[in-house]
Amino acid sequence: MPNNVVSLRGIEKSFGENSIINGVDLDVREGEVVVILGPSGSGKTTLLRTINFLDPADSGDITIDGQTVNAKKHHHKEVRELRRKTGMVFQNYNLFQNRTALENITIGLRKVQKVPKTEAEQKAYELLDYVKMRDKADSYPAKLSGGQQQRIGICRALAGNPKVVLLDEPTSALDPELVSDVLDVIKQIAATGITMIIVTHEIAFAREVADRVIFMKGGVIVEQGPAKEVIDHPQNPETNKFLNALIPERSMEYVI
Amino acid sequence: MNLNWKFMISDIPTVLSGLWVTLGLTAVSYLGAILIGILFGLILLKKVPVLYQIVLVVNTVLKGLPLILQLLFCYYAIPQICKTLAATFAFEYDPRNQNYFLFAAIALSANFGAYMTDLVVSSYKAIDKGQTEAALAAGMSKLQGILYVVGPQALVIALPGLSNYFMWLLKATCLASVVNVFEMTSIARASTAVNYAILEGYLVAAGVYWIVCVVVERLLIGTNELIQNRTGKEKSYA
Repeated sequence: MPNNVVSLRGIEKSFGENSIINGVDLDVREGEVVVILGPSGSGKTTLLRTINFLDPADSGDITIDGQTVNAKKHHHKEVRELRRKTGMVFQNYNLFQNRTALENITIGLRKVQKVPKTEAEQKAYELLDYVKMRDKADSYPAKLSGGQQQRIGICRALAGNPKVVLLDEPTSALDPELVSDVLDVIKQIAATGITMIIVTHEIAFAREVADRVIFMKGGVIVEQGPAKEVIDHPQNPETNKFLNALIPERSMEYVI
Repeated sequence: MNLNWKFMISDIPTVLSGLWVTLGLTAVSYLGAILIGILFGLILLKKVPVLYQIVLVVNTVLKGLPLILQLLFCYYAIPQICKTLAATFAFEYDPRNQNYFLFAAIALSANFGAYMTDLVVSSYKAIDKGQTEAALAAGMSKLQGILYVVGPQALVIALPGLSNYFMWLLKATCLASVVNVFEMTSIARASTAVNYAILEGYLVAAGVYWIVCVVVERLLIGTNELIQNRTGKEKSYA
C-alpha cells in the first residue's frame, strides 16, 4: 500500500459570512490521480487552493510528503516549504507576462531552489520537448495561444519535481478546439505516476484519467470512489443530478 | 517685434551653465520622489497600521499646498529645525553656510513623492492578482514575487506617468530660483537684466527646457516600445 502524499484533516474555510468548506478530510496516495467534481460554489477550487495556502484554510491540518502545517498556527517559512512540494496549474494560466516561456519554467528552479542556470534550462528544454513546444522557448506569453500557454503552465508546475500537482480547471478558459491538446498532455503526465489533484468539468476526461473521483457539494465531500463507478453509477442523488445536467445524453437514457 | 539675435546666441552658453544645476536638482528630486513613492506606496498597499493613516494625511497635505509654499517652508523652517537639533544634540551648525540646493530638493522630492505614491499604487494594482499567486505557488517569497514578477510589469505600466512627472519636475525646478538656488531660469533672468534683453534671455531658457523635455520623452517612449516589441504586450503610450 503506497503512502499518502497529501492528507487533509478537518479543513474549514469561510469568506466572511459564507462558509465555503465545512470540514473536509482527504487522503491522496502516491501516484494517485484524484478528480474533484461539483457544481459551482461547492468549494472545490477553494479546497484545492487551501492545499498550497493560496487561500489559507481557517482551521485544519495539511500534510504533504510528511510535513504537516496547521492552517491557523504556522510560520510563513513552513508555508513556503510546503508550496515547494507542490506545483500549480491555473485556470487562467497566470504565466509570468514579463518572462519568456523558457524563463517561466526556469525561474522557480533558479530563484527558489537555486539551481544553476544551465541545469535549470536543460530541465526546462526536456519539459518543452515533452509538450512539443521547444520552438516557442523564447516567446513571451502574450504571443502564445491559450493552449500553448497552458502547456507552458504545466511545464512550470512540473519543473520543481513536485510531490503533487494541483490543477485548477486547467481547460475552462480554453477555446474548445484547444482543450484536447491540453488534456492529452495531462493524461500523459498522469500516466508517468505523478500524484495529481484536478478540479475540472470535463467528465469524459475525468472518467478516463482519474483513479478516484470526489463529488463535492456545499463544502463537503458527498460521494467518492473509483472514477467509472461514481460517474456511471452514482449512489448519491446530488451527484446524479449534477451529472445529468452536465451530460445531456445521460438524462435522455432515463427518459427512454 | 525686434529680437536681439546676436545677444540670444551669445547668451546660450550663460544659460546652459545653469542647466547643470537644473538637471542636478531634477535628478536628485526625482530619485527622492521615487523612493518616497515606493515607500509610501508599499505602506498603502500593505495597509500597515498607523503608518497607513499617517501617509494618507501627509499625502493630502503635500498635494494640497502650492509647491512654492512648500519650497519657502523648507527654506525658512529647515534652518530653524537644524538650529533646535544642533542645540539639543550638540553638533556643529553654521547658519551662514546653508545648502539651499538640498532644501529645494527636499521640498520637490516630498511634493512629487506624494504624486508618485499614487502612481506606484495604481501600477501595482493594475497587475493581475494571478501573477502574484503564480509566484507564491512556485515557492517564491512575497518580496521575490514583487522583484521578479510584479515589479517589472508594474514599471512598464508606470512609464508614461514616470516620464510625465519627470518633465513636470524639470520645469518645476525653476521655482527653486525663489529660494536662492541659481538654476537655469534665475541665471537667464540675471543675464537679461544686465543686457536689457528680457524676452530674448527667457526665450533661450525656454528653448533649452523644451529640448531637454523632448529628448527625455523620446528616450522613455523608445524604452517602452522596446519592451512592447519584446514581450508582445500592448504598449502603455497612446
